[in-house]
Amino acid sequence: MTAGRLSLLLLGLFVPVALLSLVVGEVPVSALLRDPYLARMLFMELRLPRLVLAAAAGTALGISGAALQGLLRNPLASPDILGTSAGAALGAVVTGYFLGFSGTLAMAGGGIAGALIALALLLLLAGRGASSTTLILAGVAISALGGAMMNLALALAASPFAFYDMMFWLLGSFADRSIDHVRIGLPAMIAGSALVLSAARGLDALALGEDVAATLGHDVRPMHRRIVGGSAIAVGGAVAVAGIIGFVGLIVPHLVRPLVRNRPGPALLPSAVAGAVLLVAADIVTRFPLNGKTLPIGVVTAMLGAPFFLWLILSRRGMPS
Amino acid sequence: MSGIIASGIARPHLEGPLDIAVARGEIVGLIGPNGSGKTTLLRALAGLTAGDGMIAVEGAPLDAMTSSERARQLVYMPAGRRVDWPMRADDIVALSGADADTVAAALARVGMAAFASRRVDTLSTGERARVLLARVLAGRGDWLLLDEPTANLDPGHELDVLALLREEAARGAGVLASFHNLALAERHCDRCVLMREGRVVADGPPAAVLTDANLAVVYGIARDGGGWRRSAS
Repeated sequence: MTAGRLSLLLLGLFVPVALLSLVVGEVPVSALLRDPYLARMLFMELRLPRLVLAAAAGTALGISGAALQGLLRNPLASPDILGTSAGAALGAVVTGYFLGFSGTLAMAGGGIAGALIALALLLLLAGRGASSTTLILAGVAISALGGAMMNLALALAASPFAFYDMMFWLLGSFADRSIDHVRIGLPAMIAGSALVLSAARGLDALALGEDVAATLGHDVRPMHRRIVGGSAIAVGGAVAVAGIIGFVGLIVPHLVRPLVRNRPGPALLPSAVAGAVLLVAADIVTRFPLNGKTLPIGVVTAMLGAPFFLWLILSRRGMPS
Repeated sequence: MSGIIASGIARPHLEGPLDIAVARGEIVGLIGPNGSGKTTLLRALAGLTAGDGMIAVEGAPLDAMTSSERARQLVYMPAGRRVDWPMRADDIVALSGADADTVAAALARVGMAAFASRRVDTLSTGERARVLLARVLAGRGDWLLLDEPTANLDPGHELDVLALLREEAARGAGVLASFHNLALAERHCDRCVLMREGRVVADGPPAAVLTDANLAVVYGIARDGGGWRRSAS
């Protein structure tokens, strides 16, 4: 299947899921039909920003995961496993709680800077053309360090709510997001995703190694810069407004790639759309209270993603790293 | 100035300055023991490494060519047979930029037409090597820089590859390929370049390069009937 057709198909799937996400919630539809003012407020102030943010974050995580897997030629690469998301969360938390810039714009900037530092540190630690094992070890180390420092930062923060905020940062949420978050987060996620997408062309040739890609006329360095920079902007923006949401960037490319004949380049655009579908659907699930409590979205994606991750490990057993 | 002419090349692992030239229509065999600098030299000629010396393609300096100009003229194939994603054979060949007909023709030339829609991870190493060679042929570049194109192949397919390289030379391409099968290089190359410890130690017709003295010094082997034995050194 071509990337364009698959993206359109997934977009066709996105529309009903998006409409469902506008309808499902605590306030029943019948109440909204009776009160047009309430309906307008609810849609414009709460549900539409929530839908837009979930779709954009899914796009950012999906395309970043697909591009990082293609660039690093590693099926386990993704923003959460490589420590990019943890770096973004640490950057946003330090900016918001310690440097005193708690505005959405500053925290998004902190998130992007944190994501960029985490990715740069990863490439520095693992080196180019690193084996799967080295790369994942470096990612786990950065992820653990970033997560621990973020928890420490929140534990020491002067804010009385900081401890509760930890759950938001670690597990993510699209609840109570305002139009302000959309205004700041959306441009970052779109710009980052577009930058990543612009590097799609040379990714297939990279399957034969950097040398062959270079002799086929694909300059590897600009490709590196666009994917690393774009992922940092997209993931930094997503984490700053929605916290760390695991597994989306890991599993979406694996669902999409076989449908485009396992070519990493054409997998980018459909991974973006599929990420949006998955995250908007997961966000709908969080609205059904379990035992009177709503589920954090990171729990929903982890429950979907962790079994998939295990299957991925099992299917790679016996394969050379 | 015809052909690829490299002069005064120095790179890490190459004890330069080193000169080498490849003309249109010839197959040059690059031979030498493991670690003698064959791959380093091929990568330097493909423009993958920067360093001292001058490399010119038909009189045009490699440094001054854009990456797409280089891609049109120079085709490089590494010795590794690894493909990172389970892509289809025809998609691999299409990475050369060739259209569908050229891709199909190239796969047919290496005898892999029936495997066009197979995933490369389901092929044997030798079959994958032939698919990767089809990628080289489909590129239709004038200069083929091939690192061990016959590695992983059975004797029959080794001969097929040399026949294909001869066809490429006949259409006007220049071929520089490294080999470990000395008998194959001796029989099918127009010229051999022998390397040892990062230096070119002999360059000329195969019979003049693969002498008993050179084999003893460079490889530590001697002819023994149709094969080789370790020479006393």
